[in-house]
Amino acid sequence: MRTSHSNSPTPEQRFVGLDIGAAHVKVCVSARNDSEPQLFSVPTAISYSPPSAEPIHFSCIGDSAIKRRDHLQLFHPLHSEVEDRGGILGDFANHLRNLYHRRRDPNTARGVISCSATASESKRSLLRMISNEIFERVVLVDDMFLVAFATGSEAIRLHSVIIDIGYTSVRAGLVHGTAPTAAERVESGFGSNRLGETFKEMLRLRYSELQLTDHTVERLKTQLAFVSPANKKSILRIRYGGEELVVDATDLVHEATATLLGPLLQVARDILALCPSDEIAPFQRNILLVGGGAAIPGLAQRMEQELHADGFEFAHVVAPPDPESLVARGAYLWAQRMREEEWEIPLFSFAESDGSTL
Amino acid sequence: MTETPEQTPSEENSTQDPTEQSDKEGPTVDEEESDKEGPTVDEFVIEYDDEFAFLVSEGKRQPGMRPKGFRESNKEESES
Repeated sequence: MRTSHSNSPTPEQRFVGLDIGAAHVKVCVSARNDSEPQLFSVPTAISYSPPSAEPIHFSCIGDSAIKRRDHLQLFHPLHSEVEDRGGILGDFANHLRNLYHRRRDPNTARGVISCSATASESKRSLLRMISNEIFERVVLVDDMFLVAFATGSEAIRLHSVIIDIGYTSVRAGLVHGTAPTAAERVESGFGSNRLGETFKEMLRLRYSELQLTDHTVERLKTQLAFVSPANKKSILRIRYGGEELVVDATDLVHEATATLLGPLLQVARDILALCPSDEIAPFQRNILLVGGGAAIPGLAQRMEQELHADGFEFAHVVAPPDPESLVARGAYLWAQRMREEEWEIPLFSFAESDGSTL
Repeated sequence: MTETPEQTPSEENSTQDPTEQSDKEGPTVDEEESDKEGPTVDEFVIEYDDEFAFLVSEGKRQPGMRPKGFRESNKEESES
């Protein structure tokens, strides 16, 4: 509910939902013409022109940064080993703002940023460094709560198991009207980056001369990964020197993708074990897979089959449409319903944090 | 501090996005392809000329080298 205070959002007010992940940043922002919100997905990367390019200094983010990595200096803005991280975070934030903001306009954007309720102070500090640079008002809200909110389903808001298959970890939590507490969460260090490493190693073993960059392996994994019961055929077309070699990599892709199942099912079993005994059924009926890995064909069905076999008789696993963007969409929706007094006024905070990585 | 909001379903004036799904419908399940229809073919194109240039820039290959042999080793693998 919005209040009618004199400092209420103006008609030009823009609301932004921001989900800053290790691999991608998702931005959901209100359109100027009251149409559907705009959604941006940007790889978490920034490139700078080399020092020799002075006095012309240039930087870009996302896919542009990655494509130019052969002649620009590529950085992950959230990594602790980056020098001048405060400056890099500031540049990255300004590029993000330029996705939706015209420079001549006043900055009236209000942002909801996803952040685990149990996140460390160092992680919060990093997020605030970015948010303080681009928002007039800001608030951090738990990511799993935002997922449940984004579905628009009351049943999911009140009883759901959220499993986020992220780049560096798989995290799960119980949402029951509120964000999961620390005791209602489970985490595994096997994220989709480990899946990428598995792909790379299996490709190296089978096609020893086909060395690929990490970026290409990542794209290959995203585009081809699947598990049964999905029925896919994975074809590689390798073009070099005007010739093309066609390779059927179906069994390799399936075998590599299936390595995600074990850690994922363990997380699911562990979080389901934390459900209150008198609410087991409603939680099991709403198991949501979100994050980049959730879009893998066959994964939700396979998990449901495996959980049924494990005795979780009510288990119903779904991957909602566009599972990677659900957190940002939920953040945007939550921003729209924030009361004026709930927003925080950001302070300039470009102090160095303790150096942990998101 | 991160907000840990409590859901208040009956709150007045809550903004509903037109893309939200109704409570009755719940989230949509991704439909998988039926086995009866045969597998869906996904293709991934690797432009190895470009890839090789990036490998050189990353120091994983020497400039001037050609990726000799991967065609042959691929042939052997695919035949085996």
